[in-house]
Amino acid sequence: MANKEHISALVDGEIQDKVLLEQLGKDKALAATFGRYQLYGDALRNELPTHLHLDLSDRIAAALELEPTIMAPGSNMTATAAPQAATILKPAFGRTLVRHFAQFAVAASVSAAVIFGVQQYGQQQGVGTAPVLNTVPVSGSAAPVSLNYSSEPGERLSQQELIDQQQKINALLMDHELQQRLRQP
Amino acid sequence: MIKRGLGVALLWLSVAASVFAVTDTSPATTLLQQMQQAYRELNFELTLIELRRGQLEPKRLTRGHLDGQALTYLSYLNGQPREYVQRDDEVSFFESSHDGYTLKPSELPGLFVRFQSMPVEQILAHYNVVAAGRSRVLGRIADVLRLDPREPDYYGYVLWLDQETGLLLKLDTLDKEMGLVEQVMGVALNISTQPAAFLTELKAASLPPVLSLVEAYPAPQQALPWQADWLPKGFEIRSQDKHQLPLTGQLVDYLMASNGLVDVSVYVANAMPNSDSRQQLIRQGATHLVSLVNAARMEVTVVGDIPAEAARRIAESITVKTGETP
Repeated sequence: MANKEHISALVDGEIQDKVLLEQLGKDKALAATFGRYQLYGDALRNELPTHLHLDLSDRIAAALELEPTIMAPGSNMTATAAPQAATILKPAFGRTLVRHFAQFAVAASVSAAVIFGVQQYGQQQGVGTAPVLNTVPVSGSAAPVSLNYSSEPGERLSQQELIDQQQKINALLMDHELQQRLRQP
Repeated sequence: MIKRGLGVALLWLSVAASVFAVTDTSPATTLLQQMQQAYRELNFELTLIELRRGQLEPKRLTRGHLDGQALTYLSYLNGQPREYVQRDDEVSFFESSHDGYTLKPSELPGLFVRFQSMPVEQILAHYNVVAAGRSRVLGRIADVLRLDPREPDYYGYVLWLDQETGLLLKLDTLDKEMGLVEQVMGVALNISTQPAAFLTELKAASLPPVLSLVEAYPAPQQALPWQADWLPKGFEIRSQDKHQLPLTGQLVDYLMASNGLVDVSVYVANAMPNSDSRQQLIRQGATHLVSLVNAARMEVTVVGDIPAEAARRIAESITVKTGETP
């Protein structure tokens, strides 16, 4: 088949041929070739899945034909889908936003605590007041890659020191995130 | 006569130069411009998966245009809810741990969005943009663009752009050895002529009042008693101040440097008397955090999406300005 060379090129991403792609959709033999060549490519790139599901398309098509009851309501679906989607999305979005607004009271009490902390700290001249804004702490994925421990071999960080260290790292990562939000575009 | 000839020649040269400047349209540059244009003009919903150090983070980016206003909604789909709403240059940040707030001007977080908004010339200044053929992403044909860093201290990037629309579909961050550092990959895309229905709602939603940057962050810009003797080439200082860190309330000197695409933060504080001088390196996806105590007993921390080696070099280059004490 003369088209095979074309298909090979298509799989390799060397060409993009709309006509050929359309043909692929119609011609079963061509489609099979395309599928096989994709597989060869994956094999060459070492990207083969552990289990190969060969020619599932035919089996799925056959299975679908055997299940007319599931396919039947499909005709009504287009009519109801849009309003349904809207009603699903609306409460989900509204709820989260409202929940955030409801936290205002809590946030206000927290900022009062922060200001108290500032007074204790003894402000220096020209220092920004306590941050009004915040970011979220990292979700536990900030792991040390290497810690160059000091020479004493017996030294271990206590539990409290580890917690303090983690909090310090979180604070720095959060502040970096915040600074990017405050950055002038 | 000679003068006139010279004048004509100069005029011709300047015209030629301007034509050159305008017609710097290699296929790769055009693709970058198309990417940004697609982001500016299309109504779409793109579901993304972010891969950072083996952790997967699904997000959804919905963008639409209503009566000349661009609305973008970015939401984290797993775990603690995080939602960001952008209306033109106003961005509202909603996170579960604190009250939402709106900043103007601001940007949605993440490199994926930064690529859409930063000037193409700045990308071209720091990265060698190479068209690297075609590939398939999201079941669509995509043009592949490689951004090879012109400086060894930057990460490289690979961008997959939808051939039909130009939209960015996948973004890889690569280290010097072409190893994958971070990946953001589109897994579902819906482009529509009308913006998503809930964006209309969003347009009318009352979001937290807008804070200008001065209101939100009152730390004044000021000269700091120390300097970074080395920054990766192309990085410029964007901000210098003193402020307190969240969580700990620790007072720090702060400096931000940026190359337009990537921001690096430098924090300096007086080291505690008992703190030792061990170096710390922490990695989260492409973000590195390097912390050390230098000979002048300054505790220096560098955070940013740069290779570890570059972060360490910045940290080690921090010195007290001559004639001053920290």
